Amino acid sequence: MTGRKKGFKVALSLALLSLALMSNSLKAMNIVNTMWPYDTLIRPTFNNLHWWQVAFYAEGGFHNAKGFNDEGSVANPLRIWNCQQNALAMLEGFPEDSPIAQLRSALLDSDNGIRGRFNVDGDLQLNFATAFAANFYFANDWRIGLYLPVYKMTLKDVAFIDQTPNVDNLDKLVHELLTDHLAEITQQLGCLDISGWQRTGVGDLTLLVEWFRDFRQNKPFLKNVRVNWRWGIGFPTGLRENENLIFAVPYGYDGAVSMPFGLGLDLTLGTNFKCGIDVQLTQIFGHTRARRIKTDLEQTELLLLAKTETFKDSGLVQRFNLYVELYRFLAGLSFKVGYQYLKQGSADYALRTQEFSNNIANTSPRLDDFTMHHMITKFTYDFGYHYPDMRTRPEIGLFTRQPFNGKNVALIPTIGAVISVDF
Amino acid sequence: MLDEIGPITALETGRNTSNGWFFVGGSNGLAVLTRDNGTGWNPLTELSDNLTGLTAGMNFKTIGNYTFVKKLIYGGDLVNYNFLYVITHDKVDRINLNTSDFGTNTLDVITIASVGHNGVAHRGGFLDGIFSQALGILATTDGLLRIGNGKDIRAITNEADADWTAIAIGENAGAPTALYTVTTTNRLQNITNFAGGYFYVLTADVGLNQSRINRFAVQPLAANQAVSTTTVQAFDDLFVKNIPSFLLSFGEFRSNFATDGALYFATRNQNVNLLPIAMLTSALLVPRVGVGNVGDRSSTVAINFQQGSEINYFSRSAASGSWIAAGNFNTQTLE
Repeated sequence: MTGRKKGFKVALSLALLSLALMSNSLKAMNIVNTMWPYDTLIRPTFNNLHWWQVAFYAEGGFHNAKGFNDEGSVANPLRIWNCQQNALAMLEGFPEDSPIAQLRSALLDSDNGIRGRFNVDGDLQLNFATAFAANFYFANDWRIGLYLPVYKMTLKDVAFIDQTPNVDNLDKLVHELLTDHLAEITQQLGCLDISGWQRTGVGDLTLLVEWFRDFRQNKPFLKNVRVNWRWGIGFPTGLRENENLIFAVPYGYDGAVSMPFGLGLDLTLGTNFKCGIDVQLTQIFGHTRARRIKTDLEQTELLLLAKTETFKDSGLVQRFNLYVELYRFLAGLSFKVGYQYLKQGSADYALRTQEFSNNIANTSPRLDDFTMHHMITKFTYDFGYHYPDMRTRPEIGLFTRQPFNGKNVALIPTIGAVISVDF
Repeated sequence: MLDEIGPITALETGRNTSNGWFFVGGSNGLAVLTRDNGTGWNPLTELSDNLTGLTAGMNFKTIGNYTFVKKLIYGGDLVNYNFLYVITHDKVDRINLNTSDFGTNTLDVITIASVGHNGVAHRGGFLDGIFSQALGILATTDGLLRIGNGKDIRAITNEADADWTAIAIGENAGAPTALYTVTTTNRLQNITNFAGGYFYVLTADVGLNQSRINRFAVQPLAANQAVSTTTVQAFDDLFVKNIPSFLLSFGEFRSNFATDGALYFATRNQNVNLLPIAMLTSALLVPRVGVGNVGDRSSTVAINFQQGSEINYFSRSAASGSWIAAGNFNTQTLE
């Protein structure tokens, strides 16, 4: 009885810790840390005592996204690549007789570093992320699974705040011909809608084969070592980036096939303590599609009018998880705190046209490497604790993902749940 | 009243047989200095020393409906025809000063060019122009245009009647952003008078960071002679046989050009965080046919632009011989 009371106190403390972490993250936000249902820090626990495991994930953002720019400083998500958007440079680099180039010529020698600049703000929200996962166990140590996420995100309250003064003739010319009608011009000359959006769609379907084995240890402290590795294929089923909207990020790898490979080690120390490390590398295969590109060095990412067929060679995704866990410290209740670091290497463009410069297109900051740091907490209740011989093993988990740092990303603090049944 | 037309961008005097006026164009409109009844000064005797003719009761009055006036050009012979050509960003108007009444703001005006026609995109515009007797030349964001063969800019009745014809600018650097005339009187209106004249065209593309100078000769026209194929002809500036080309290339974007025939200046406004700059071609390399890299080797002229960011005017004073640089800084004189 005393032990149970103590367990409640621990659970309460952990819950408060979790809430504290969440409140800390209210101060920060960044790009698209969409949920990976096979993330080892949030996926359900599993063993090889059943044939199947099905799981349903649901997650929502509890705060707008917070951006982290190239220097790791906090910024609005729409300013992670450029602190200001340059509407004058938007018109540069086009064929001489094109309407875009003509408009630029009409604006004369007006770029003094202030005219045509916009401070851009907007709220990026994760309305929800859900996922369905099904795994089949075979040959004792193996399982094969499918994971399909669905996301809904919103970009709203987008404001392009014109920094152009209104004093001299060139100021007024830039206002009249460009900045006072920016949305109309981007739509007309580049089919680019610079207002907000709301998008719902599936992510990339992932097929994952995993091998895992528990190596029991007869030692005073170390009781078990679980080794696992996984390999899979990500199919490009996800909603693509909408090139005609600003910051309409893809819900996957934007039409590219991916291949994750991961390796993990979990240690059970004593009866109520676990810790572990997991490394996952994802190779994203190159893919060609129509993309917005820079046609001038000074151009900024949200105001790109040129769209052309472009091959993208993405960088390797490296994800590292570290965690400690109080395992079944109160009946079937466990609590895990994990740290996740994700880095994706820089990408390259290869244009499928001679009309624009490949070198200039590759100066796009969206091709730079990006990083994310998350603190992930998770409560798990394993109902199998009470009925170890039952033919089904239900489990419920509540988790939070709190981004606290990053580079070139917009991260959303989320809270979610995962329900799974082994049978 | 002048406050209403915004920053001033163009000035011109115009007249008819009985009145002379002063016109001022700005970002927000066009104004004329006139008495309430629309009359100006006596064009036969005024303006004279000490601006005699500017009398009490004259005020600036807004006329027409213009924005972003680029240039005002008076063309007339005082007797038979007197026009004010108004080049704005989106149209070019010809105002008949003989039949317009500024007292009632009744203008006899014909739009002789507008955006959306002759290759000029709706979001493009007009950048500069030359009007002299029958000749009309327009620098547009789509290239250089002249009035059609057999046409007279003074006699056309509408835009279509002008039959605007493209003038090819050999190996240009972009849109013709400015025209610089060389005439007997130093007034562009006289480029077809006397022995004719010539003009420089500055073509430039800020995105490609390039600019060049091409030259065109203008043949003299008789008083009522219409324009023909030979009225405007490119100089034979060649680097390769039979391929018309430019006289000068600056290697970088320049927005203003000035020359007195001996010195060749080119300037650029502040470019993001780079301060305004004025360049002068080398004394050892004279711009001439077939000689390349003259403009590229220009050197910077040390001018104190203070905190200014724009060089709006650069020219040599015919009176003093000094070079004058004006912009949003205290006017600088090179003596």
